Order: sequence, then structure tokens, then C-alpha cells
Amino acid sequence: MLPEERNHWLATHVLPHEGDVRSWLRRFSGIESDDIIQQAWVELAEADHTSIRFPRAWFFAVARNLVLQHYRKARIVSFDSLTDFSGAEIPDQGQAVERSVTARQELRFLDQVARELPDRCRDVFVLRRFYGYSQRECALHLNVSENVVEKQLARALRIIGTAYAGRDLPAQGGGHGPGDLRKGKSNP
Amino acid sequence: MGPVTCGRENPTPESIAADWVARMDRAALTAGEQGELDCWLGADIRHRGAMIRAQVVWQATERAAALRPGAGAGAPQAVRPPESFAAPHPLPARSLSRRAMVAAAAGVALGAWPAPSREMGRFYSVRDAAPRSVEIAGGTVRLDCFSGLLVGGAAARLLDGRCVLSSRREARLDAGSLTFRSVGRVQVSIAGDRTTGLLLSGSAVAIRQGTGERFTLRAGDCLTMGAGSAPRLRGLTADELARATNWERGVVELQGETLGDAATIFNRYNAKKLMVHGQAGGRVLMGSFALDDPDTFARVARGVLHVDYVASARRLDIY
Repeated sequence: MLPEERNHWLATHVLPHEGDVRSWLRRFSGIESDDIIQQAWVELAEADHTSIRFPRAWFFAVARNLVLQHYRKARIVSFDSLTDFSGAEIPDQGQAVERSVTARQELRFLDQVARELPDRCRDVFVLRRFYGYSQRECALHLNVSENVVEKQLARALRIIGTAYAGRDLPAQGGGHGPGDLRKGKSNP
Repeated sequence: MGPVTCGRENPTPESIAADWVARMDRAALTAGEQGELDCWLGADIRHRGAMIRAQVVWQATERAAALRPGAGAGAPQAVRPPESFAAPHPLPARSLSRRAMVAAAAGVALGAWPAPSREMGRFYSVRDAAPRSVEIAGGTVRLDCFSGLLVGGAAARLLDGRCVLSSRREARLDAGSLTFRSVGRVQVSIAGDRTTGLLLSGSAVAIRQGTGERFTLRAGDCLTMGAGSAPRLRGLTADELARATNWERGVVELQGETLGDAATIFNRYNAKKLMVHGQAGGRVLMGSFALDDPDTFARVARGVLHVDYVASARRLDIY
């Protein structure tokens, strides 16, 4: 899979669930959820996506394994942490739910996030991503330097990334449980 | 110097990764920047994760194009049309009238999109799509994919990419450091710091801005002007002319290019992408094909080269 295809797949099927995974990780003491999430993204990117049927459950399973690895490597693990981990069910497992994100939900989310960007940042972001202008074209249109455009885009990306991290998806029914994460494969 | 060493104190990996993604969106990294990025990525697996995540978030924002007015995604609230932002270059921001600014602000407040203001000029951009025609004073500009054109009053400026200016009376088009005044058809392109003008028919003169130096073009003449190099004027052969203008006639002419090369050309003009896998990428197919019809190209490749393909709504995978 080409990097662009991979990123498209991850953006569509995995990224929307990051907020829920982060919320779930907060129950574990002694770990940095940012570290777990960053390591999870490496594993998510390196996997064969064509065999993954339930991306949300897969994301949770990857994060869970990384937490477990962390505890195994740690020289000192509190009793509370072990208790937390042993009692930590992956969300939705009992409900047999694989939440999906519709294109309309995703657009509504992006529209909301874009509205909340600072003014100059929003102008640059809208021109670049909504209208497809190049950074050079954005700079010409807004009468600012390309450096300003680049900086404002990076700023927008940070804000949008934070929004995804804090996103809380509403539950939907009718999906599948994470017990069958990959075709013909056991859970990671 | 790349983003790693710039900016804030104690930046987080997410912050640094966002800087890199924005930098890479601007232009290809230099060798030095690439080395700096590789060094940062190799220093900690969390850096790699932050980078992948930033790229995925960036990818996620691509679908925001559907929120553009007229794209059919309902009534977005964040989007204002480009005409309502600020004065486009080269107009200084102060040239905006209070009326125009109030109109733009009111449009946003009411959830309605203000009509473009003439004094602001209009910006036209074509991405990975078929060429598009734009009326300008005295003529018509046919804009190639991945090209940008700024039109304001009697002036038009090609900002990037390639176009053909067609006119029955004298029309003017600025590009880079050149101004073209032509009657007939002239193809103008910008690539980096190089501006090229190719007269296809009629007559044209290219005027170097600043010095006023004039170059008279005859049909078939190609003028190339690069920063720091002497202007070059030469006549193209009939074959060279045909190849240089294939895009405007909607033709892909393959004379020894591989399927991989052909896919790159088709993908520049079509939302439906050709993806060539494995050894098929090195196979060679010759002939002329319609630029906007990748399906037919895939069918011919299957018939001639005995490769296989799978078609879906957004892509054609050739194996």
C-alpha cells in the first residue's frame, strides 16, 4: 500500500477513534498516554490494512498491548496498575459494537474545528484545504509571505490534531465486536 | 534549516511533526532538511508515531474540500470563498473598500456567501482535473491542471502551471518576469523560476518586466526565461509542438513511456486514479489516448499487454 493510500485509510477508519482510545487509556496509572498513542501509530501504519475488518477494535487492541508491554518492562509497577489492567475491558467488547464514522459526521467535525481556528490560521487553512490552493497561491491571495502560510498551516494542523485527540464519538449500534479483528488472524 | 530546530522552547513531538508536514506541503525538502528529518525520526519511535499521526491528520483534512460552497456537502459555516478573504496579490490590502469588507463580513455572519467583488480580482485554480477555460479581457485562457491564474480587470497573471491564451484581438498575460501581448494562440508556462512562452499561431511579443526588453515570437517559437540565465529563443519542430500541446487537445501520446509513467500523466488530470502494481509498472504501451478516459486506457493495456485490472469508483488497479 502506498503511503498516501495508507494515510487515507488510517484517516478514514482509525483516526476518528483516537479520542476514545485516549479516554480509555486514562484509566491506567503510570503511563503516558501520548507515548502509547505515538507508538500505536507506528504499529497501525506498519500493519497490512487489507486484512483488518474492525479498525476501531484493532486500535484499542494495539494500545492495550502497548500498555501491557509497558508494564512488563517497568521495574516498578504499582498493584493498582496491575489491577487496573486486569480489569480493563476493551470498550464495546461486551456490546459487540464497531462504531463507524460517516462522511457527514466527519465533515461536520471538520467544519466545527475549522470555525474555531484563529482568524488568520483559518483563512490559510480554508484556502489550502477547502479550495486546494498551493501554499504559494495562498500567500499571493492573502498578501503574506509563504513562511507565514507554512507556519499558520502547521498551527492549524496542531489545533486539528488536538481536536481529534479529544474527540468523543457517539455510540452506534449494529456493528461487530473486536473479537475478530483480522480475517483469519487472532487478535494482536 | 528545517522545523526541528526552529521555534518554540521544548516543542512536543506533535508540534515538530506538524511543522514538518506543513514544510513538506510547501515544497520538496532539500537534502539537508531530509537528513535533519531522518535524524529526528530515527531518534525516538515516538517521533515516528507523531509524524505518521500528523500526516494522517493532514490527510483527514483533505476531505474538507467537500465543504467548499457548491461541492454538495450542505451548508458549511467555516468556509468563506477566497474572494472574501483579503486583497489578492498584487493589490495591497488597503485597496479593499469598506463596502467590500462589510459585505464579506455580513455574508459570513448571515451564513450566505458574498458575491465576488470585482475590485478584489478572481483567482482560478485547477488541481487534478481536466483543463478549464477562463475568460479574461480580450481573450480566453485555457488553464492546465495544477495551475493558478489571477484575473483582475484588464490584467491576468499566470501564477503557476501552464495555460494557452487565445484571442482575436490583442490580449495580455503576465507570467513570471514576462508580459505577453498576443493575437492568436500562445502557450505560457511557469515551472520554478523558469517562464516559457510558445507561440502556436498568430503573433506575439514578450516584454521583459523591468528592462522593457522585447522578444517578437513567430509561430512555433519558444522563449524561455530563467532567473539568472540569458533568455533563449528557438523554433520547435512539428513533433515537439504536438507533444507540447497534447494536454490542450485532451490527448495522452505515449511513445515508449511505461505504464507507470502513463499513470502519472493520467492521474494529473483525473480524480479516478490509475495505480500500477508490480512488474506491470515497467511495461510499455504506445499510442494516443483520451486524457480524461483512464478506463479505456486500462482496457487497452489489458488487451495489448495482457495485464489485468480491477476498477472501482475512485481507482483502477493494474497488475
